[in-house]
Amino acid sequence: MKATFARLWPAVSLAVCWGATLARSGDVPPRSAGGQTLEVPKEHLDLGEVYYVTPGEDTQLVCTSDAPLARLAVTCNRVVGYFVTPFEPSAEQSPLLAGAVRIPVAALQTGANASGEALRSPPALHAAEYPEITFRLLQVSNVKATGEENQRKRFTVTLAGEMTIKDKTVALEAPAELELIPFTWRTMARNVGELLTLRTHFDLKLADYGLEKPDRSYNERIADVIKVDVFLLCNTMSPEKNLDPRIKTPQFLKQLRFLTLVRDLGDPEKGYELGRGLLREVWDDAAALDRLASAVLSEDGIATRDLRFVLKAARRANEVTDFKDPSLLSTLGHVLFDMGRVDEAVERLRQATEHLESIPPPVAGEIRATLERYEREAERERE
Amino acid sequence: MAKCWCPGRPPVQGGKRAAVGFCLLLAAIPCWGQWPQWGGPRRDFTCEASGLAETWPADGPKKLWSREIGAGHSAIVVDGEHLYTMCRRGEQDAVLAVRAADGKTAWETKYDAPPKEDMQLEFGPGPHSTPLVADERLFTVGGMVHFHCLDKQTGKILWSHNLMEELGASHLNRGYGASPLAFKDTVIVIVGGTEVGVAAFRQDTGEVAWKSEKFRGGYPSPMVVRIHDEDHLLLALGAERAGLDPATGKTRWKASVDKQLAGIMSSPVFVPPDRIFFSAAYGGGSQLFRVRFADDAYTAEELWHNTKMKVMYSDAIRIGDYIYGSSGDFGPAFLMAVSLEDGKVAWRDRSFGKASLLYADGKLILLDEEGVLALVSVSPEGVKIHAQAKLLEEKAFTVPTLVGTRLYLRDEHTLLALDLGQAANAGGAGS
Repeated sequence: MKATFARLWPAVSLAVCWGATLARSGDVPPRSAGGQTLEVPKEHLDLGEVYYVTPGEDTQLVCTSDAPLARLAVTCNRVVGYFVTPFEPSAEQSPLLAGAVRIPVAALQTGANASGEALRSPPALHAAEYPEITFRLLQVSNVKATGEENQRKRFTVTLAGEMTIKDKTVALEAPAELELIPFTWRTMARNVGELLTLRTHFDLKLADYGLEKPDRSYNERIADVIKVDVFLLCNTMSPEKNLDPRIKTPQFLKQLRFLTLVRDLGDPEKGYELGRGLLREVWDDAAALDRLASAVLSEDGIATRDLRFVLKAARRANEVTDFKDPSLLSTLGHVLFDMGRVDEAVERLRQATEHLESIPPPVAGEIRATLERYEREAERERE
Repeated sequence: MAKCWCPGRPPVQGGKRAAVGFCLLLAAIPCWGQWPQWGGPRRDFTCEASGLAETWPADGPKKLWSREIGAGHSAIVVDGEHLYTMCRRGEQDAVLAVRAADGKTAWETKYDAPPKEDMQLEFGPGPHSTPLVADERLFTVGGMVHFHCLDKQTGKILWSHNLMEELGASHLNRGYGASPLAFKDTVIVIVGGTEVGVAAFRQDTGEVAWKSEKFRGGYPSPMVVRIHDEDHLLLALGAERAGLDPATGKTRWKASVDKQLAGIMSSPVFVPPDRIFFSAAYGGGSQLFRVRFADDAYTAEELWHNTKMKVMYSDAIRIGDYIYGSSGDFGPAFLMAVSLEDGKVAWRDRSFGKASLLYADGKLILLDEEGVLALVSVSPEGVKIHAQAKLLEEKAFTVPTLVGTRLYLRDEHTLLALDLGQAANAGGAGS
């Protein structure tokens, strides 16, 4: 169906302004069971199609401080939330009906430890006390349908809502670009599901939120106004959808919750406490133990990797499988290597190579290459 | 349109004009106790039933028995005292006959079916296809496309074909899934081979009766319907929708659709006298075609295409002027009603996960992939849930089977028999 944009979207030339006040549902909803999205209120579910913000891949936020003596870019890829569009978008209705996001302060990356600590310090964002920044969409206006091609629909809008930082809520208005992208074989390469992209930018005045610079030395190194550039890829498939029937959904969600605490919210104490509980639950499930161990070893953005925790999970996974599963042996070797126990790591990888016939050739090749790397390291240590 | 069905026999589909009146007469007399093939007596997931309870106790309808079963998504067929299905035993496929009375194994026939190296098997290697009972024989196709004819009483293999080796059939990466279809003295199977799309075999000897032109392989099971007073074997394979003469395999009509619809898995839905509904997930959506006959040729015209209703692996059901189905692939699932008139969505409901449906006694029996069984009424205005209960623990991708008031469900590990009758569920209020 290739109806022209003008036929389908008369709004294109009318620059329709809805000024639509959106459905309100109290505060920004809490995080969901796995922590990778929000609990969408029923009144929002009833409104239309829900698109969940996809964390973990894109640079969702780029916050630039351009001060006289320093330029700092802070990024984040762990924004979670959702937006709701009409089931059948039309020229008579706002393309966005509701939305909310949460931004974990611990996941704001500055690229340097000192500036990161300063950002999270009490005078600035005070991450320990206020772990998240939130935004709630309240109004959409100045809607213009700006294009349609291959069933992709594009709009420009003005978003209005409330941003809360350190318990201070400030009204925020910003221009935004919105694109609704249907699922195609091409988009599947990025994400399965129907997609929505939202791009916006705005200035954030520190004083509006009562934010202070960490100390006087930062007066000329952090700007009074931060430029914030936002790109959110959202998907009708929730980040908490478990697509693998071999994984029990409660386990899957608990592991997500564990990672949310350890990685996104920077709370290793609570995170590993939950992780230890999960470890006990899956004590005889080698695949689940290995997933847990591998996640802590390999997941990006984990500041505190508890290698003893990983070792316990990886060792038990191998006990359950009688030290005969090459993938599990490889994980055990990996953690031993990271702990500096290189000779033991080599031993486990050699054990793994005795069972490579049971796994696909590319994975077998990776294990052989890892063994060679470990052996070189062991040799270097001996020298 | 005339179709009829009798105990112990697959539905007689099509036939001579002279038989129409006789078949209509038979069709007016429901024959209880049979579910011989994919989709039930009429291959449309509807069946005659009465006396079903209006609701159930909170923990579900009365359980008759349950038993362990191997992995697989093959649905359950029922013939007399036996249920038949397929499951996986290590690197073998197993055809299983189970006593309807108590769930005990009557016989089990296994054969080697190691998975191929190029398969993606996170959802298991199958078997996904559902057996077919025709007279004294049982026909099965396993995940690696081994096609067998068995003696339904003993499980003895009477003849077989390795369709991958013989006809270049495709395992579709995740294991073969279409269910065989009886037509007169033949049994028709999707091949999706390098040279052959569909093939028919003599039921008694296994001899090839005909081979069609080339079509891609696919999961939608074929069905035979009567359009313009001729039999049409309906196919939805890849980006082609087609009608073949089921007696010869010759193509009567063929339509190409957008490649986004090529991932179709759901079976076609016939809308008499001449319309066919198809639905695909993965961004595809639903289409309604009309088959026309003019100038001595058949053509198929798309009446509408709606991208909103996307039925994935399960089924859709026509009730009156609406199609009801569970729409969704990776995102949320909606129980949905779509108008046949214009393809518009009448309503959506988020109460269930992706679900398989049966229609009996004026209600839908719904099993969602989380193992929730529900009894619901649907109309163009909306859905009313009468009862629901979570009964299965593993992913439940298999459409249930109803015979009389007995419902059979399965997931990857459990086969469950329930009584949905009024007497068995008196006083229940489960929703």
